[in-house]
Amino acid sequence: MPFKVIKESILRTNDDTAKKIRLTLKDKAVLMLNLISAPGAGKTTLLERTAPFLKAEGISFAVVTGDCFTSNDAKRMEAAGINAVQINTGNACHIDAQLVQKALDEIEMTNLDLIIIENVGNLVCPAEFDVGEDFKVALLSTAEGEDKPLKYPLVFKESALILINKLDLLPYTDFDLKECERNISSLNPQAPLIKMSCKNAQGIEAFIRWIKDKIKTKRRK
Amino acid sequence: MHETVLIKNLVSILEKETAGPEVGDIKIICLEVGELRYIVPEIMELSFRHTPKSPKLRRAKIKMIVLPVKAKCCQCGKEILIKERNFQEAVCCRQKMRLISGDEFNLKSVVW
Repeated sequence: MPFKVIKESILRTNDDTAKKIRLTLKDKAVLMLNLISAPGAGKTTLLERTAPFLKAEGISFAVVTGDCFTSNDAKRMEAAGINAVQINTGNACHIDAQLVQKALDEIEMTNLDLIIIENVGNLVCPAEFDVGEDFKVALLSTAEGEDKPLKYPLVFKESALILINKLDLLPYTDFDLKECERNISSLNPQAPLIKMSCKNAQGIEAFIRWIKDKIKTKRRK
Repeated sequence: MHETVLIKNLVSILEKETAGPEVGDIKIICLEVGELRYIVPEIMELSFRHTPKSPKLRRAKIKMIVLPVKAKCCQCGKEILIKERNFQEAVCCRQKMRLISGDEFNLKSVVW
């Protein structure tokens, strides 16, 4: 039977757009992070708590926030004084590069240091889609299982930074922190791990230091 | 489900690649999908069946080849097969392992 070898990535359209985004951000020297977690791990709260620290460091930033429906997260960002663009994905379980491009078209990038994409709460699909970010950041919480990284290896493997949130809840859960750290290390021994609590600001400064370092490195390039 | 988005992308690529007169009605679409990808074959088939497409693609069936997860030791170069995504057992020289296979998502070939 006749056949044709094609050997092409099915995500080509998305990846081409992601490349264009990457070039634009490089040209403007803007760092972009893709924050990924399960629903309820604390992405929005993390951004609310981080905002004052970023402002104190003179870091100008914007947030692209994705949810299936509502603009609740964008409203929370705006209430916290953060420049935010809401993406509603409808029935889609992730943000793709085309949606990010549309959001970026609404953001003035002059004098902007940082864009954070708050992805749809999902540990599966967002890991599959390159949206032009410099780094993926994975967030999980002590209200989840310590084996989460093993159940969803792709996102933890691909992330440049891993955050464990809700440390304040440790006394009230059976979460095995050491086991979680081992699980993460088995997948991604290189990624730094920050243990934090958005409730009491534990770990936020370490997160800011990491961001500052990445902004500095990008500017040098 | 992101299978729907992926199928739309796939159909878009297929329609460009099979537009030529030398290509007849497609019988098989062969995909290479890494084991780390969260793809449900039955949902891919269902999404493909219900996605608008050119007449050449209407009777095509999807065949998925699942590629194993393999990692390579950055120290000694040894390649290790990682079974059932059990990365905890992928240890060599106590060093970082680099993923070399398992996250592919390619349109490999078509048969008509």
